[in-house]
Amino acid sequence: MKIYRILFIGVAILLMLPGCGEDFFNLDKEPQDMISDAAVFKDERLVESYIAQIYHQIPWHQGELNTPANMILIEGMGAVARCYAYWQIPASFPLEVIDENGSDAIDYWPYDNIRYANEFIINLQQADFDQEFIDHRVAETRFLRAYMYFQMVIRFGGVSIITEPQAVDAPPEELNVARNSEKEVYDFIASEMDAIIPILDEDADAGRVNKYAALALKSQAMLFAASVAQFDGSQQLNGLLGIPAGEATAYWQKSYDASWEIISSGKYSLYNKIPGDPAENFQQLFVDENNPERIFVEVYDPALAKGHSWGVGAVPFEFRQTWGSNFCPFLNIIEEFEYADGRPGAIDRDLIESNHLFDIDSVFRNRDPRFLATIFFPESDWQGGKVYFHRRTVVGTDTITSGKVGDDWPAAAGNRNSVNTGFLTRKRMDESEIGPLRETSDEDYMIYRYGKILLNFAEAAFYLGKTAEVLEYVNMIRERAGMPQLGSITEEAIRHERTVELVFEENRYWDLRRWRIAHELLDGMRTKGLQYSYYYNEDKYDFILKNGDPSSRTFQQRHYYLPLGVTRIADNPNLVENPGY
Amino acid sequence: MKRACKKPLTLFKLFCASKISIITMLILLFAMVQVMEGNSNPSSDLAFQEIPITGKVSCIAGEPLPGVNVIIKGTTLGAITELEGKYTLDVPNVQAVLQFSYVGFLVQEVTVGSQRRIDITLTEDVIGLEEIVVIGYGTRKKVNLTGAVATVQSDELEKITSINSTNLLEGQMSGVITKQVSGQPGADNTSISIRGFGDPLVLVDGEERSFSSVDPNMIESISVLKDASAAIYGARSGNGVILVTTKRGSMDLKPKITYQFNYSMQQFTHKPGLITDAGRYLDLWVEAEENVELLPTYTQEEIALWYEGSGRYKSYDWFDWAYRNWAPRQKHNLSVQGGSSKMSYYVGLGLSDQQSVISSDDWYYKRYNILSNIDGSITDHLSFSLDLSYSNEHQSETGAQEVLNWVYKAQPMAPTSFEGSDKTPASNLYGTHQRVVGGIYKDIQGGIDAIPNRFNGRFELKYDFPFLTGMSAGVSLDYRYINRRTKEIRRQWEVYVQNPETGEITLDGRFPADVINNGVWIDDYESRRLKPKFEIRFNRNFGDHSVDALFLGEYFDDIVNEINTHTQNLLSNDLMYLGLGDKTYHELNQRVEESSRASIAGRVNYGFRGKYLAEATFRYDASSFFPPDTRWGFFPSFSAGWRISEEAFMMNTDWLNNLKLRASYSETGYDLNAIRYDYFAGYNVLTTPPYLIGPDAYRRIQIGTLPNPFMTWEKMTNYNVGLDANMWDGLMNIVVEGFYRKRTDILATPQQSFPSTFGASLSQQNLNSMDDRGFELELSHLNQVGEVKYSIRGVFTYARSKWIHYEEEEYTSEDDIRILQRSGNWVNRSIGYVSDGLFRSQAEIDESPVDQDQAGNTTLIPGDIRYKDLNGDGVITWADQEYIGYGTGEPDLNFGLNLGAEYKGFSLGILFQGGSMYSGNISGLARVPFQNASSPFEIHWQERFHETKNPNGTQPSVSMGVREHNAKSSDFWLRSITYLRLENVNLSYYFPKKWISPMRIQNLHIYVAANNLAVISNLGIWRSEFDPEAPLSNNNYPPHRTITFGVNITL
Repeated sequence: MKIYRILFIGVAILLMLPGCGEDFFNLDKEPQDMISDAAVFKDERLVESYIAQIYHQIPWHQGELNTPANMILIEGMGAVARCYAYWQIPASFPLEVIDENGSDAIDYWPYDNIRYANEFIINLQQADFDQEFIDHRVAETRFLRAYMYFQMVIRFGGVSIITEPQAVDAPPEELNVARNSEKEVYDFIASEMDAIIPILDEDADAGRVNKYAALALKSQAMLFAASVAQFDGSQQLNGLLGIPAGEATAYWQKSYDASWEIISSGKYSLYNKIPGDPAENFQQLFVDENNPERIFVEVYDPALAKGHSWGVGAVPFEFRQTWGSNFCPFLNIIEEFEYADGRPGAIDRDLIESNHLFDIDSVFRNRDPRFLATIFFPESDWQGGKVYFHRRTVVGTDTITSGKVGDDWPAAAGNRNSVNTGFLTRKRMDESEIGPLRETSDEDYMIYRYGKILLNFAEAAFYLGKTAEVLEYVNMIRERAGMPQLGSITEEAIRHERTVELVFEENRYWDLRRWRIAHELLDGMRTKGLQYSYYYNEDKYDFILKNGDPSSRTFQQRHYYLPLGVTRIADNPNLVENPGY
Repeated sequence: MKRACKKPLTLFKLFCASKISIITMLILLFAMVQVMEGNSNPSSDLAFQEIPITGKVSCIAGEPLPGVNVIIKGTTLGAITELEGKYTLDVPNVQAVLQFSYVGFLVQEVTVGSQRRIDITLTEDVIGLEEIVVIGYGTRKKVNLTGAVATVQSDELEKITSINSTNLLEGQMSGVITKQVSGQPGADNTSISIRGFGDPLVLVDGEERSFSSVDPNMIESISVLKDASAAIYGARSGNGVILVTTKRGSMDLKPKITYQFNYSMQQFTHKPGLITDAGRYLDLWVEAEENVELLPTYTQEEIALWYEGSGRYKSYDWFDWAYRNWAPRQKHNLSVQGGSSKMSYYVGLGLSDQQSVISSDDWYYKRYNILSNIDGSITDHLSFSLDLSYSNEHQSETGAQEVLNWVYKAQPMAPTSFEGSDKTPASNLYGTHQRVVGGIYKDIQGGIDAIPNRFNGRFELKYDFPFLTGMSAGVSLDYRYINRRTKEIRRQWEVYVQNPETGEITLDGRFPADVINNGVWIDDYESRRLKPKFEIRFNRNFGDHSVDALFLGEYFDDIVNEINTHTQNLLSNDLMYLGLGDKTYHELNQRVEESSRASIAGRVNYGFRGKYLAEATFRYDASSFFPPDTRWGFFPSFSAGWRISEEAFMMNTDWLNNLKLRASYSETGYDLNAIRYDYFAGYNVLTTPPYLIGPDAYRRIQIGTLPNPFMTWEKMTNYNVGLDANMWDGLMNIVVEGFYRKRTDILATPQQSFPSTFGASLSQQNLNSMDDRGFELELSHLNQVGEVKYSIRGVFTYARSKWIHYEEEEYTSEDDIRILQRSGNWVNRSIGYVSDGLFRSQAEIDESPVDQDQAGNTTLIPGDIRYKDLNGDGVITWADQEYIGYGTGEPDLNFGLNLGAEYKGFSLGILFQGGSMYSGNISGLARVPFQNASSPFEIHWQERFHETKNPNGTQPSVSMGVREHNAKSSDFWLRSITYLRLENVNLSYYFPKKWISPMRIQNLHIYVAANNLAVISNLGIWRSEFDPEAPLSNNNYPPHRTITFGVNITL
């Protein structure tokens, strides 16, 4: 019968097929694009890649161009400069009222990176590498972790110190960590630095943590701790916030000692390659990478696919290829710069009101050489041309707003220059970089430079009563800057020097906070700018005083400690919110 | 990762591995034997004397019906009527029953008896009870369905003239919720969800394919499986299944050559009204500055000159410049359909070409489709199908979102072109976003070309067992290949400004802003699926009992291989090739993903006298995305139907044609939300930017989420009850469905046990659960009055989802519960502040008892929004938020109204479609005028508050800079939307047969159609600015309105 024949052949063929489709019918597939956990701690290159990610995730300076966390944000918060033109979104972030929802743009809560560092420290210590390699990388990571805690403690006060990765199956009471006190966090930073300083190298490649970076962090952190004790001294939330006033001296001393260890090592000095031209020297300080002032930097090199965007943000309108004129300093910071002979830099408001015609040379060019290297003002020289800011040109009785007057005088500057604050940021710019684009700027960012350590040292010395040292070191800074020496020293003079020397280095806002003068200065403050009319026949300018921001600023007492925010409070019953939110 | 086989795996192997081979072999052997033994007719074994029968089949109007199937009941023997409706057939005996069936007509049965000539008049199936409906892995008569299945046929679909198949379903069926947000050529998909469940599984001829790239003219029908009817698809069917079936030939069908052509004119449904005269622009600009005490940039004298508008103070309408009023679209389709006694075929070729409303020729979408569906019988018991389809698409654009943004950010003071120069002018004089002109042209800015090629092939062999009537087996192999190449070019280009006094043209800026964004990007995506399948079917009637059973196994083997590469900072702007880039910025990446799935499924359908119907299905599914322990899932379903109208006690009710009660229950799954291979621990490599230490650039590695070894798919339990009623021969038809679905094991990031200080992102776990409930109603009325046939059909769907458990903290404070907690709340809702008008003077601000800004109202200005202090603590805080309206997703309420009328050769179809119970958020530049120096809307001019100029304005005062106070999420901006759209109007004329027959034309009709003709919505002042289905913001390409002329001719 047919059927039997068929079945016979069918069975025969079936038997000949070996294990039908075991390979084809396969449900055990694996992802093809991941490196396994086990592989990482067997290969030094992968370990370096791991630590590179920890470095990378730390915002050493604000690096984004046009987001809330933009490159000029911290200066914006400190009322140094406006972030972008007032019709652009980032301009509003420093004006926001920081409330119970969190601190938005300047928030920082890097527990993911801390966990990543904690995992690294544990795993590397168990790995089978050369012990020196292990010790160095662990020490480096402890620095990075401490730096993150420093960035948190200056925002929130006490935060939870977590030094080991928490287990997934840990009980809630273990996972819901409470906050450590502000003092504990500062002390943790100090003790961590003390522990790793003996291990870290004296010298390391640019970009890698060395012994002096650790000392610099300690100098900086102790300065902050001392300030909190000295200028606030109160305790809140059962000691989570604040450091008793009586402990100020100890912290000043720690900062002083750390700074002194750097100074006395003799490894660093103030950049002074162009002694005859202090303005150009100061400009080059941030450009020249062969520079004895660099203690710890973030390295940029577009040729290695990592460039930054300071140039494209800051470059004046006339010299831009694409963006530009985004970092607009307020008149308030302009006036902080003394005249070259040491006179205070304020411009007489009555003169401005009275249609006085100003001579640019006497009102701007004749200032602290650092001013010339920090700020673009009307007719600043740049790349063989000039930067203009005037809105109109007056010739006799005619007002001209477009075209040219004579052969080469533009009747009005570009809109972005003339309608903003009347100044632009020049510091950290490289005059040899033509038409910077996004991520084409290559200047390394100096996280810690020697000049800052000298100022830390001077400030700590002041509160320790070592007036002679204060004067010596402040004058070292002024001498390099090309400014007259001070004969005596005051708290105000130290703060003034710090402001002008370190402006646009993400410093002022944090200083105002730790000195506890931010609420006096910033609350209700309406920043100012200038509008210029150029008088052609007189070769002089009429100044019109204008508001720099679209609204006044707020800085209330509660803002000395930023809010953790409702969601963080909601997900951990042991976290307490800072007062006032 | 190999582990001991779990039981289902063994089971699967038993069924799948061995059975497939056995059955394949058996079928091939049968085939061989059959071929070897020649074409023996099995019925010839039965030595009966045959009786010849002849006859003619016609419709009630008397016209002969060609192509009617005449079959001897219970066999496969039969004939098909010829052109004049005539047939001849030999029947074995006088007890033989002849069955006459024809699409669109009721089946008729006649016992031969003594008749030798049987003339039959077929009655049109107005109600469609006999309609054959495509269901999962098969077809079923509509009257026998036990589940909630909605269908739409090609004649209805062809009234919608879209070239994108996803646009066909708007307003057509109950239970189908749609939303079309964009009209951009090639990106104008309508999102479709069944009962608000989320993305459904869409199968084209049984295979997962891109719905949007199927040529609508090639679609025969679309079925939507809404309840347990989808369960046969197991782990992916929980959101419902859409089955798209393409056209096929049929045996003994005279060849039909059809050419379909239409030409459309398209325009924006909503063209935002921006201020296009510089006078008012600058007037408002200065007002915005003055409102926040900034120094006015322009003097009143200057503004007056711009108002006057002569000479250099001329205004330019950038919207007008950037968009054309009408853009063309055309579509061609040529097909051949037919069949001999052994072979049938449908072969089609389609071409679609759509231009954009953007006024450069570089924005378009083109598509070629080729489809060949061939069925043939090899022997009497062995048949095959070979289905091949190919599509090639080309979407061209220069970057829609950015360009649309730039148009809004163009200023009327900026000229659209320079006299005597072809240099590209800047469109904004404030130094940002000044690149509209170049932005729309590929040869200036570069652009994106996306070219997907899709090939699908299926070969299927089917064997009818001669020794067991009704039993058949089949094997098939599906092959799907997709290659999608995307090439993006970004050139660096320049914009210029002209000095109005001197005429001098100077460089204003170069784009893109960064060296790394100028270059060539190529992405080459390749995906291959191989899917063998076997099935056994049994379909037979035993007296009063009918049984229809199916058992199948499928295996899916997928490989995705994606290579993308780019190079930047090219040597030349004119030579855009990979090799010309700067070596620093070369980048090359590859992604390979292998995955597989295996399934076995079965279904038994039982009917008793066509009165009691029951169905049960099961499916075992496994996916390699899940860990071995949780890989397998079992998904059963049950459904039953009771045709009350067939009961004896109902037989006297002549007016009732059909009354059926249905109920179903199913357990299904959904695996598409799952993050693939999340049960592995590992690191990803991140290449850019590297971290630099000294001279070295370190690539970085980042750990993934903590692995979850227990992850599996979502589970869903569906309940459905339905009632179908047809009365008075179609005068009233009702379908009512009620449904409830519970989803559990929805993947969510665990929250409860981990505070923010934990520091690791946990991979998702099967934690959340929600339920959906709703009902559907479909009412229709079909009638003929004199020579006018007309139909009215309304569909209505309500569906709402609620979180049962949403992974979140255990909230204790009342505020947290009200504002944050989702468990127990509707999914579709928005939380925000409650507004209470505007502050209309400084005095009102000063007198306000409520601290609005937590700064003593010092930051407020007149014209700012006033928020309600809900908790009465005197200060607006986070805790003053509450429920302010529906969410901004899909509407919870959908409705459609389909009107049709036919008179002589004329046919008119009108389709209305609408939605309600969802929200839109006025955002972007509509909320914040002048942001990035953009152009405000006319509405801002008319409605903005100003103490003296416009004291009754309803919108906040204009200001320079974003006022965060006004930008808060609140009911000021959130609009609950209800809309009704005249979705489609189609007027066709069918030329009478007597005119066209002499020219050997079978059918000729012409039509004019309009899509998206009008919409009414409750958007108030924003009604004319925004399409209610699209985001209420500036950077969206609005949907198109189209007017279409078309012709269909069949030879």
